[in-house]
Amino acid sequence: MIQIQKLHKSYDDVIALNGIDLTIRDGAITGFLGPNGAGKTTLVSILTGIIKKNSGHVSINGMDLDKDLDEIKSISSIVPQSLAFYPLLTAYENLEYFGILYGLSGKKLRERIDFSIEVASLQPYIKKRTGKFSGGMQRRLNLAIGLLNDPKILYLDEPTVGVDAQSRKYMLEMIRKTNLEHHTTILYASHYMNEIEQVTDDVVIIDNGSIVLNDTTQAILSSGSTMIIQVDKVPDSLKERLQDFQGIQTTLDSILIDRNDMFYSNFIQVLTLLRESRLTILNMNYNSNKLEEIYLHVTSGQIRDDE
Amino acid sequence: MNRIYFIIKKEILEITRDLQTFALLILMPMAFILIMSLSMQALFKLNSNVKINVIVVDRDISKESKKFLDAIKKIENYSMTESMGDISIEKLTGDIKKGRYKFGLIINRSFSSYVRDIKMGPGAMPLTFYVDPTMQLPIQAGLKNQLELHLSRLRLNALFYTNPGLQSCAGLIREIINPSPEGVLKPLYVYSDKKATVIPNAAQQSVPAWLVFSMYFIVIPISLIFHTEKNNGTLIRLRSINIKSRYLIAGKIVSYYIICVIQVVCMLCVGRYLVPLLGGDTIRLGNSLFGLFVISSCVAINAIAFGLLVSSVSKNTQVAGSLGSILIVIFSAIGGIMVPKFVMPLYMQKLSNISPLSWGMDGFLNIMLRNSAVADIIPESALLLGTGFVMLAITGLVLKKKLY
Repeated sequence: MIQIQKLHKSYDDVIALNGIDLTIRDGAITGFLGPNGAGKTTLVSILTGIIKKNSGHVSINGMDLDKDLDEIKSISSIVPQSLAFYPLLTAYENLEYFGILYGLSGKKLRERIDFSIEVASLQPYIKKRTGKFSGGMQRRLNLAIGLLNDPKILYLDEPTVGVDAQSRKYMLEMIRKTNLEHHTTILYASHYMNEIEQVTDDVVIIDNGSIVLNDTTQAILSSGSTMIIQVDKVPDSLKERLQDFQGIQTTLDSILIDRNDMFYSNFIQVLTLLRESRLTILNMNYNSNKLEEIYLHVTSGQIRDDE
Repeated sequence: MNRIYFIIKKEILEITRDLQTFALLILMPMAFILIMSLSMQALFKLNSNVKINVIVVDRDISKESKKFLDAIKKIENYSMTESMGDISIEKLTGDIKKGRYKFGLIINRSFSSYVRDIKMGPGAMPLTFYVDPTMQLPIQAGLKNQLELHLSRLRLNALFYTNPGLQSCAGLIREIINPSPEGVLKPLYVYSDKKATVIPNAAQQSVPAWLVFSMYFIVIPISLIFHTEKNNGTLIRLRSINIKSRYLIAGKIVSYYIICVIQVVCMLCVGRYLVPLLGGDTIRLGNSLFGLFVISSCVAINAIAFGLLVSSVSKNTQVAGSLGSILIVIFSAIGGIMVPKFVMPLYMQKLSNISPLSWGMDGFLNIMLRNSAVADIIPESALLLGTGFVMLAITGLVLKKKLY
């Protein structure tokens, strides 16, 4: 279990993490979502000991991050978003190098290399230089290196960026399998909402250095379900009347009703107002990308630029 | 130790498999040494078969001018071509402009009078000397001195010939006061071991400078690998692993040190074995191979520390490569790699003392040319190691500030 209390980190005048409190369940896959520059990478970097926090307390599997960093590092592993290995070395040489750095040797090293090669499904290519690998093979190797030390906690930062559907499906299966078979706690940062929906148990959304949503994936998805009523154009008068209702949002041509406790009363109210406004319903549906809607809602949907 | 071994292995594999970098580090310096040694040797070598062309026009056509011509035709390193009859100044200067001749000499009609009459001053203009502006001053001075020497000898002979009583009166023997063209001065080279009598050659004098110059280009692969690791996330992965950064840095230093040593060995082998095969002069390594090893190691450590420092303060590989190369060229120029220090103005000579490349070159020159021992290169070695460790310490501070 990872327990974070009042964690604060700033770079000069920019606050990256604003005193966050968070508990990550042991053995769960926790999805991390957030706009660019929200603080996800900073949080993962602190948890892996790459950068130092300004204040706050972090406990990982009962160990204090400040006092037991070496032990914490030895049970953790990170798979960075970029391809963190050496393209001029073969797959085997890369695995051997990182395995040695993880402190493995002899039979144990060979076993873990074999395991990682199998996980990454790279058996025929182990003697090939990794710079000549396809994008999917490189991503799989990137993940495989992260599994070398049989980590208790695995940090995955966009592990499937730029891979084809087959490799993505395979990698997600491997991540889930690793989690189930080894009871690995996985922190999974991604911008692919469908991946987060598919693979995670919990979801944490960070924005502006603060946690804006933290719940189980199931709870978030069920609470965030939305009915979309499409009309030709939502008039301003109707928008004004609907803005006082909780759980109702409007766009240029749609009215969105959250599937919460107020859903039925809100639904009847919307239908009544549509009739009064003499508007014809063109389409009525449930949203298909629910997590994305929730994510955009809680992060206010504005474009963010990294500095 | 196992970890360090694999770090070293990884770094060396990366450098040797990157053919362009490998060529930059090993093959290009070897080619450089080969070309410089072969092309420069004729410039310094005595009795060289490379001659500088001089056109000579004899307008005096006298016994004296004939003697003078015969004498100057024996001057080494110059090929005197006597014109067929008188030619115009325009034709002579035109030939120099076209590059057919580097110098032009006109023996004027006043020449014989000037030789015979000791009272005539230089205003008589016995000779007119034309020079191609591309000719270096030492070469001009060399020929000018030789011409004046032979002219003086002719005048002295004429003086004794026309005044035989002068010689007997002074009790002089003509051969003693009129020395042979070979001269009375023979250079005695000052070696540390007082035994060697070998005349230094062009390769000997140029190899140490270019050796040091090439070694500092280790900054290119260092910055390339450093920034690749930083940009592709490998550095993040490495820092998340429970391994002390000093192991990673030590592994890098040892690997690059091995590369530098290979570089030195390759360059010295070219100078020692390949250059003579192609007709050049072999280089001597001095009397202390251990001294050579010590100064090579000190230069290597300084160069590696320089590479790590430049990499750590630069934003990316391009900046590191440019900054590193520019600094190397500047420190080379200051340090006497490109222009010998002794020809620099005094303040520039003092400035050269701040260049690590100057310390390295002096160390190599001490061992290879002056036959010095390890004790003689302690100052240079200490400076190189000292500044190397200072640069490593600054690198550590910069990285700590940047990364944490």
